[in-house]
Order: sequence, then C-alpha cells, then structure tokens
Amino acid sequence: MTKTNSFIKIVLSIFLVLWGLSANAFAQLEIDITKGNSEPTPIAIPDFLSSHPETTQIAKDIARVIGEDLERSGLFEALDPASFIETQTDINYQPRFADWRLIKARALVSGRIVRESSNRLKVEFRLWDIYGGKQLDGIRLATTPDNWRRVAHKVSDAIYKRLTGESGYFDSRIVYISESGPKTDRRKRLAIMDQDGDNAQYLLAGADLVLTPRFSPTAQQITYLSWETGRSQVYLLDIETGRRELLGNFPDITIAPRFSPDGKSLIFSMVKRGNSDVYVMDLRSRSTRRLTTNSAIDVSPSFSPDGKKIVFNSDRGGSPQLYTMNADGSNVKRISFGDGRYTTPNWSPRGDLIAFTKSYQGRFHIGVLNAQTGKAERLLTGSYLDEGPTWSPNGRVILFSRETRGRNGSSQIWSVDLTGSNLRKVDTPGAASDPAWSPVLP
Amino acid sequence: MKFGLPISFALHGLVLFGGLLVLGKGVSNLQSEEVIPLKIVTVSEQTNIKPSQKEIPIKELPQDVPQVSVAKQELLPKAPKKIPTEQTKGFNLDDFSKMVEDARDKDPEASVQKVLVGEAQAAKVTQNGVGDKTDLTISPGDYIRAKMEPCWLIDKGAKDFQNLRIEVKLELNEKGEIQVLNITNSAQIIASPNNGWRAARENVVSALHECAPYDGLSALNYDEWKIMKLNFQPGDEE
Repeated sequence: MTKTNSFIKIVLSIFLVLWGLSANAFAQLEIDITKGNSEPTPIAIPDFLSSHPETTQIAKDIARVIGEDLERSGLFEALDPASFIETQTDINYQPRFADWRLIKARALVSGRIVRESSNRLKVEFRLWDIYGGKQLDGIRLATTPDNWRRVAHKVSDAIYKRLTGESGYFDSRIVYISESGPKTDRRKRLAIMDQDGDNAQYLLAGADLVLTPRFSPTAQQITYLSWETGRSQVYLLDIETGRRELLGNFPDITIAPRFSPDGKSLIFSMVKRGNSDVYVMDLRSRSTRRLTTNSAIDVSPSFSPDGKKIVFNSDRGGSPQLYTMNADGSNVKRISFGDGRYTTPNWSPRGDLIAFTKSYQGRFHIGVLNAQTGKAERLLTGSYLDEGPTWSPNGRVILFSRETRGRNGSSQIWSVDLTGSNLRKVDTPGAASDPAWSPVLP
Repeated sequence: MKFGLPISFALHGLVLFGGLLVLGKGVSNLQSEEVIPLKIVTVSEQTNIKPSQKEIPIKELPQDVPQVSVAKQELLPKAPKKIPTEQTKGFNLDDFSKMVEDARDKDPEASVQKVLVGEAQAAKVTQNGVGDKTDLTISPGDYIRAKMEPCWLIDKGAKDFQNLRIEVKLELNEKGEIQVLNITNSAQIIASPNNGWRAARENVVSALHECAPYDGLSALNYDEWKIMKLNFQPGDEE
C-alpha cells in the first residue's frame, strides 16, 4: 500500500514537473503586437467566365462593378488583372494559391455566368482565402440579363460581409435632391440613384420645392417635405407605384420628418406659435403625439436603431446642442458639450455613434460622437459648408452634402468612412444635396 | 484469363475514382444550391402629383472663363550677375609637397610598408559574430513587431475594434517557417456576436502567413523563440 502510494506520488510529481515545464516553455516568449496598418486588403477579381458570346460582356462588367464597389469602400484594393499569373478555366477547381500569393492577393473571387435562356442568367461565384488555402463563400444567383448590376452588387455585399464581418451596403440606393440653375434661383427635384451613382432618375416631375427626403427602413417608400401648398408639409411617396399622400394636413409648418426603425411611425418637428417641438405620428392611425414641451427650438429628431431613444437638437442650453430622450419623450439628456453649434443628428444603424453637423469658427464639419456617453467626439470632414449626414445601412459610411463658396458655388454629395478616411465625391448627373440612404434591397 | 477483363475494369474504375477524389479536393459545393431570385425594384415613371407651378426654364451658366492677368517679368528686381564673396586663402599643393619631402628627409623609413606578424593570416579567417546575422542585435519581440506591422491590416472602422484581441500560439522551425499556428482564444471569438472579431482573426492568420518566414531571428537562441505567444490587439495609437 505504501509502495503504491509512493509510486502514485512519484508519477504525480513527474506529471506536475512536466506540465510545469511545458507551460513554462509555452510562456517563454509572449509578445504584444499593437501596431499594424490600415492599408486596403488586396483582392483579385478576374473577369467572370462565360460560355456564351452574349454574356461575355456582362461577365466582364460584373467583375468590374464588384471591383469598383469594393474599392469605393476603402477597405479593399482590386489588383490589376495584368498581374494575374493563373488563368482559371473552371471555378469548380481550387485555384493555385501559390500563384496568387506571389502577387500578394489575400482573397480571390472566381465566378462564372451560365446563360439558361435568353431571359435568364445564373451567376455563380466562389471566394477564396489565399493564405488559408480554403473557400470562404460560394453563392449562386439567378436573374434577368438587364439586372446584372444588381447581381454584381449582391456579390460585392457577400464578399464584404465574409471579409469584414459586417453586412454590405452595395445593393442599396440613395434618394437625394437634384439641383439645377443658378444659386439665386435654384430648382430642386427629388431624385434617386444606385449607391454608386449609377441609374439616376427623377422621382417627381413637379417644380415644387422639395427637401429632406428620407427612406423607409422597411418599404420602398420615401417621406419628404414639399412646399406645394405654399407651406412645408410632410408627404409619403411609394417609389414603385408612384403614389403619394399627404401625411396629416397640419395648419402649422412641419419639418425634418424621419421614419422609426420599424417603419411604423414618423418623427418630425412642427412649429406652433413660433415654437418648434418634436412629434411622433403613427402611420396606421395617423394619430400624432407631442414629445417635447420646451419653449426652445427642438428639431431634427432621429431614432436609435432599437427604437427606444431619440436624439434631437435643441437650443434650450443657449446654443444648438444635441440631446437624447426616451421614445416617449422622458429623460431628456444633453450629450454634446463642445464649442460651436451642433445640428442634424443622425443615429448610426449600428447604434454606437451619432453623426452630426457642427459649425465652428466659420467652418462646417461632419462629426461623430459616442451615442451612450456623448464623448469621443471626432470631426471627420471640414469645409465651407458640410451638412446633413446620413448613414449607410451597415453604419460604416456617411454621406453628406458639401457646398462650395461663391456665386457659382454648387452642392455635391460626398462620402466618408466613419474613421474619417476615404473621403470621396459621389458622381451625380448634376448638383445634388440632402442624400438619404435606403436599406439594402430585398 | 476469364477474370482478366473484369479485374481490368475494376482497376481502371478505381484509378478514375481516386483521380476524381484528388482533383476535387478542397472544393466544396456552392453554399446556396437553391437559386436566389433577385426581385427587380422598379421606379415608376409617373406619379399622381401634378406640378402646382409651371416649369421654370433653367438659364445656362456662362461658359466664358474670365481672363487672369499675368504679372510682367519687368516688375521683378533683376538678380545681380555675380555675388561678391570674401577671398580666402586656398590649399597650396607646393607647400604640401615640401612638407612631405621634409618628413622623408628626417625619417627615411617612414615611407616603407611593413607587414605585421599574424595580421595577414587573421584577415583570411571569417570573423564570427560580425555582420553575418549570427549575433542577435534585435530582440525577438522587436523583430516580430517590426515584421508584422506592414502585414497586419487593421480595420479601424470595425465595431469596438480596439477590443478585438487575437491570441496566437506560433511554433516555428529553425528557418523561421511556421510549423503550428493556433488561435488560442477561438472559442471566445466564435461565441461573440461581433462578426468583426472573426474577420479580425482571419486577418491575423493571413498576416502571419504573409510575413513568414521569420528568418531574422538568431538560430543560437532558437529555444527562446521556437514557441511564441503573440497577442494582437490594436493599441491607442491605432
């Protein structure tokens, strides 16, 4: 018995010593790495394969649009096809990873188009992890040939989601105010385009002044302000049917309407007897409820993505600053405390940030701050006039209007990443302002 | 003989099957076997809205660009042709030659080349530890950090990106090639609702492969860096 105990003790001791040694060996060298870089991820997107002459051009165009989408995000760099070593002839075989590593590609998109009939295409793609040597994603889509751009955007969304972990936003649209004419006599029309600036169309044929269009998060509907009746009124427009309706024939001026996250109600400001307050309207019953009762100017309300909070701007503290309150109007709290004037707040779909316009010392900025604390304010842009931020559906990119100084100055739509990088102009047919991003299309 | 043909068929079939298995290795079926129909979202050409005002003709903006006057060159002051400088005493070769001659006269052996005993032999021997990577002049930690910086792509816009910590157990051979690469906090990453963490993990794996081999580490200290624990977490400066 004693011998057995001794034996167990010895074995246990040896085990503990070995375990300690191995743990010690593993803990020999521990290195904290905190510095990397923010360069875009190199990705190879060869032309999609096509077995039919009628789809050859579409196959090339799809690869081009995917590359443009991903590059525009600022997170990817589409590699020059001239550098490709391997030419794939079948997407159902593994690529030669070593060939793609040589040109420093981190990911490879290989795809093909199968023409099933004159009016039906099947688009397939595979996304490969070059260094991991494995397939990351593979999807098949079907559509009509004239809908190839949307297929390209869908593929871009899938790639973006797989490589960043966040939803894509490429298959979405932007509603905006198209502007024409001189600054003193400008004509403003409601228009819509794809997020990449393609396929721009007017939504209204009228010559009435329209402003602040906002997309429904759940339907192909837009709410906007129009001066058709001589004063500003809120309208709801179904962009598929073209039907439009006046939302509540209020005798007072209504401004800055915006949908709730569930699309069931509308929040806006109304000016009564010289005082503007925040109101919410149930879209089914059309009943309206007042949320703020302060004698100050309370405008530009925007819901948090969970619908529980509202951010708005108010001058109740002396100058326009940002405030949050519960969805029922209770618990009002000031969240911005910086110098300057804070306006047009817009809560990020991700919920973590609030974007705003700030004017300070003669310049206008688009900025973001922490939605919970109001701290960590970052100004992302600055110019003569930057205003009206709107978030991409994934809360990653901000669109805004930028107007240039002078009699011949005009307004354009610009985009910026929430980190303040990748500032770029969105191509529109003419001058444009007041953008609002749609949700990702179904 | 009568079994020869069936055996031949069976063997051929086996070879074909094996070939297909090898060729098809690593390629999985497309994730979505079902076709995803895309709904075409159209925009109506007409609305039920009638304009309350008449169309306003848009005046064309003037295309002429105003002339910009160019400053005349005569207005600029002319530069002097030659900038006067102070005359300084220069190097005189004759004086230098005279100094050398004087030195030779004083010590005739000064100009004779002498070979020091042992130095010529020593020059042929490779000097270990000087300039041939055998002497460690940088710590493994600093080397790995410097090596990783260009390869590790950080997505600063990812939600909560500064808390997306990736812990790696990295085992290298003596040439600095990767033998084992394990993400030791994978369970935590998979359980997290933040998909950006999974993307960050793949970024780190790609970076480690792209930067390999880690051949700037001293082979003399192989035991020190054979197995490393690397903690990737963007710092405040990121």
